Amino acid sequence: MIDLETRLRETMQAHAPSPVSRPMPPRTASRVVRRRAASIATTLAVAVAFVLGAAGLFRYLSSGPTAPQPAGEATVTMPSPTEPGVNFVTPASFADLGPGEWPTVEFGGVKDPYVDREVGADLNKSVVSSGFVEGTEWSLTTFASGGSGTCGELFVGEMGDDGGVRFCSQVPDEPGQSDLRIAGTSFGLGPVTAYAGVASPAVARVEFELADGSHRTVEFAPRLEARLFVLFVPIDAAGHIVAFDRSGERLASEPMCVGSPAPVEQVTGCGNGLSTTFSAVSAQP
Amino acid sequence: MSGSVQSRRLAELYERHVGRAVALAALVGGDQDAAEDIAHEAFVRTAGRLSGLRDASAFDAYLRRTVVNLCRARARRASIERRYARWLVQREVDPSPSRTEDQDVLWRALGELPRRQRAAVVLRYFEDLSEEQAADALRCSPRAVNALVSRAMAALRERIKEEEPT
Repeated sequence: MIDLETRLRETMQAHAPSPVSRPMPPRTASRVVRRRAASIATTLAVAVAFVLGAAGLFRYLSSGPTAPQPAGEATVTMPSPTEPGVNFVTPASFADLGPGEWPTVEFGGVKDPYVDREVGADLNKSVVSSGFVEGTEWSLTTFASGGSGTCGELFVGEMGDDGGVRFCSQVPDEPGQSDLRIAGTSFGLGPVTAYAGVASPAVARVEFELADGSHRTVEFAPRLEARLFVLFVPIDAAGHIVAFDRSGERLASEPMCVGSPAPVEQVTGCGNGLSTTFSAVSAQP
Repeated sequence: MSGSVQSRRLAELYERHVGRAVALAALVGGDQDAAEDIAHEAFVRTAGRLSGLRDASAFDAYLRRTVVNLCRARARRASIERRYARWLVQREVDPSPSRTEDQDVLWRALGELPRRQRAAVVLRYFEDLSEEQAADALRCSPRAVNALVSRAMAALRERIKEEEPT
């Protein structure tokens, strides 16, 4: 009786194409060279962006805290998944988004929003919202976790391929209660930067007070217990995310903590609600 | 390095590694037609990313990881899943006479494994990688590889038992 491992080896050898050496097709070398040039250019661009981001942060910190501003005219409403798509448009192609440029975000239109199913984890995740950011799919899901309270997951990319982030209302690294838990995330593929979070029932609205003096208010998805929100922002967006109660009192404030775009194919996260980040399904080593 | 020398080194690397990468892609991805494309694309990406190509063993590991990742990305697309299903049906209709019935049963069972389990099995028993090397290709821990292979083997045993005449 042959053991299963040996039978498996024989089966795979029998079915696999013969691993013969084959000549390199024409134009492969030129493709490799072009790819190397692109790789070097990307590295340089990331380095320049990092330097510019650091300089911008230094200027911002040097100028002191910005005075609170009244709610501005720019309001972003998070529709329910069943409502038709809403679009706030700043036309720009994904790769061309520069500092200060808002990505184009659409709500709805995703046939089968991505839900990350963990092996062995029986978490009843439901989709809160989904859409496209600069033409790439995104999905926001929520679930309850015994030790972490209400959690949310934001994934970007077809089938979540560009990676994701999980945030929760209770985080071991950030003990204590907070009315506002946020996770700032930079998805290296794009790149695209987003802030997602979960607010306590005491919070009536969440406002992004940006360093340039502008404001964006996000509302929670209606008819949902989970008070989740997400906002895709310019890659260099700085400022604070502030939670207000019904009377307009500030309940909590968290800094927009993403400093610079993540390297290509990496996902970085920060914030007082950050639970974990999920790496991109890489097509590159 | 002059263009011709670089091109010659690339050609040598291609001849040495891509054949094996095609076999790996065919087993992990389950689509022999796509395996050539995946292996070629993986080679271009890996060679295009490395600034130096002196460390052949590192190149092999990077190429393997890229092949697995490309297979994974491709497998996530429903159209490819459908094509694979059609291909499996076709295989059942027209089995190769050079393979034993036992191998066909095992091959079908292998094709029904979840992709990550199948990739782990292929890396361990076709590529003969250690758990650490397979973990590097799959971007997970060696313990996770161990668990994936264990689950896969249990599923294969179960499936074979079902197919065997009582």
